[in-house]
Amino acid sequence: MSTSSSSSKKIVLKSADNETFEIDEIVALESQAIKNMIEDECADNVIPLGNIDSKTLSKIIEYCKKHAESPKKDDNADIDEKAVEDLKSFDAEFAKVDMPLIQDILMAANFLNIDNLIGLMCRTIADRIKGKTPEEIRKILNINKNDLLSPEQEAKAREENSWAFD
Amino acid sequence: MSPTYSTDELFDCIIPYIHQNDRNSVSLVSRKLYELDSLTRKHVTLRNCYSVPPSRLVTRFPNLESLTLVGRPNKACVPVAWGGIVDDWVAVMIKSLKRLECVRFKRMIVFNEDLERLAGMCGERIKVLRIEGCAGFSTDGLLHIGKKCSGLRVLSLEKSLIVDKDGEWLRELAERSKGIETLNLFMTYLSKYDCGDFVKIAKNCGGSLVCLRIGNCHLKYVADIFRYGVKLEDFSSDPYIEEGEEEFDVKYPPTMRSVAFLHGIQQDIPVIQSFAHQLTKFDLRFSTFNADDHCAIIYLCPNLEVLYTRDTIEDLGLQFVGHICKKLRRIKVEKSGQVGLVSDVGLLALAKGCLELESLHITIKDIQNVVLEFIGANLKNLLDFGLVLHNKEEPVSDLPLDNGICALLKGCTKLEKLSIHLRPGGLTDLGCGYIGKYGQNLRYMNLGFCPESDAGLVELSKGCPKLQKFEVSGCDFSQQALVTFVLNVTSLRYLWVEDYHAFKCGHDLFAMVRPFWKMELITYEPNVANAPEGATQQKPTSLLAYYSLAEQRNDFPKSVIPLYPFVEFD
Repeated sequence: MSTSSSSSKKIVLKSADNETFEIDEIVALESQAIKNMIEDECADNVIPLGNIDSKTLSKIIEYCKKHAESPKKDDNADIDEKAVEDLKSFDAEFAKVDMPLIQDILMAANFLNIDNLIGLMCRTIADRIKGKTPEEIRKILNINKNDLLSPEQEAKAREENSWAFD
Repeated sequence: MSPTYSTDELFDCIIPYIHQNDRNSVSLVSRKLYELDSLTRKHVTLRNCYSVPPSRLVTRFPNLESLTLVGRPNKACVPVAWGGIVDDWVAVMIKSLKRLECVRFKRMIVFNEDLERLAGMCGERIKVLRIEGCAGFSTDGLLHIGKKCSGLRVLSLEKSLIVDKDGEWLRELAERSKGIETLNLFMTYLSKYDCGDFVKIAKNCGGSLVCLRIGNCHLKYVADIFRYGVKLEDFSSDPYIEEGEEEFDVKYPPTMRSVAFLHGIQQDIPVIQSFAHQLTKFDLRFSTFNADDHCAIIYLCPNLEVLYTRDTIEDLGLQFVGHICKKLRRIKVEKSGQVGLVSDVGLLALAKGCLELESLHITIKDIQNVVLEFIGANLKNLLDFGLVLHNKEEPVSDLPLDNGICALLKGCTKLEKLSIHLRPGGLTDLGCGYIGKYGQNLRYMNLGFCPESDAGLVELSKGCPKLQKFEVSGCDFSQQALVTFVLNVTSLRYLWVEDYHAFKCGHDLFAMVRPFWKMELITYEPNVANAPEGATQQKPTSLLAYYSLAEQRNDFPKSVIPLYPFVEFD
């Protein structure tokens, strides 16, 4: 994978399926976990990410690049609204992927500790199940039959939900 | 290749982001989500405090931070002693809800001892205490709060019936508090306080005080309150000066956003005009302003989002609102008791001008279908619509309102609350069918003098898939029709039938008996103070029914008769 800038320091990430991604350090620093590794000097030239596949990792790098390039709010009080809008629409587009990939990205972002991305993925999931019935949510989240409440537990919870709790 | 991770971890991440309204559905999805919802649910409202026993609530949601309980039905004919004693709830709050910070009781019975026990929690845990529309306590009970609750951020006693012994409680509160954000005594009729204590609160809590709603208060104290309360946004009072004293101007702080005048009079208008442009909320229900006064004020209020007033605003005033108040989200026009002052002309002006309206409640003397059609076409954000047609003698231009209601529901697809009080002939059975068919998102409905017949009620029950609460008055449909309605509307959890004449005719009502479905008859106690002139004759019985997972309650007064399937009655 190629990157444009030439002078800045590079970091290489290696996915579970052994694909390598060379990225600018500034992009990698979007991940708090990698940042800690670099600061603690326990990062080698290549950082292996044994639980993230290449498809997920490339999405995450796409996200981090965009966010690393964008001006940060606390850097400059009056960053122009256009940049904020631009980032918003990037996020909205970024989240338009299928549910399994969203879940993979969320778990990877959780591992890499990328706060904004965790929030974006969680909000996306919350929005997709908004107003849906339990049955529909089970389908969306691909819930295993073995993980359901027992019929008795479900009936009891259903009564409480529909008659009492708001 | 897909990586492995536990879905539990995934749900841990997601759960804080779930929308509050989706929590009930999410809790049924799987064991893990049920458990996560139980442990992380922070707020619960019980719209009926008998719907679930306290023990069951705290078992399911042990980490609640905020709990709202609602008691007595909000009806004039339901006695204050109907029920809703907070005693057992306070006990579980103290024992089991260790994270509870916000408590709100609405229309319940709270005794001084309950306040004493709550005060014990106030110092450390409880930050927000709202006891609204409640009864059963006195200022002695409040003294416990005043003495122990230095950590309170919000104390609201709005609309509670409080025995007013003295103002000691307020003195204690003012002495000790440092961080009050809201003190709300709106419509409590408390008066034995020292207004200097409000000034003290404004002084001690100047950095936090946002909302102060009090009763009578001399203008000089109001001036001091404004001087210290530099963050004050919401203020209501009845400022006065002694006879012979010279008028002086009080400068409203630039932070002021919401104001209610408890006895606003014409002389107040210049002062109001001086800060009207700041206001987002104005409550003029207790003022004596006429239409011209309203216009003089509204003209300067382009930022209003909420307006509560009476029909003394007249059509002219509402036309001003339609022209000026483009940001208006809520409006309530209550009747003043005078002969109908507002008509469909005023309502049309709102429908054409205030396109952001979410809540619209109005009492009018005349109506036309076309106005309702305008609402349907224009007010796409409307969630809550209430229409009362008053003055039974005056002819109305255009009844029935079948087509208007149909167009309104077709257009306002977000509508969740519908309340219409018409008169015989106001809505035919066909119109009721339209409500059923197009009221897809209605959760609450309150109908007066419609439906006209059994067929209308049954038509209604074929739709409204989300209806939870149904209130109806002035109708004479049969018990069988009512039973059909209740059995058809499976989402229903609460039913109120006021003045139910047909109740005398047989026992068919018992066909709606089901597990957990409780029924109570409310018989009318003539109340000399509240009874309208000549209302000495027996008022018909009302029926209240609701789902309750609690045991049969036994805390009702004589005027409330629980119905058991086996009880004989005449």
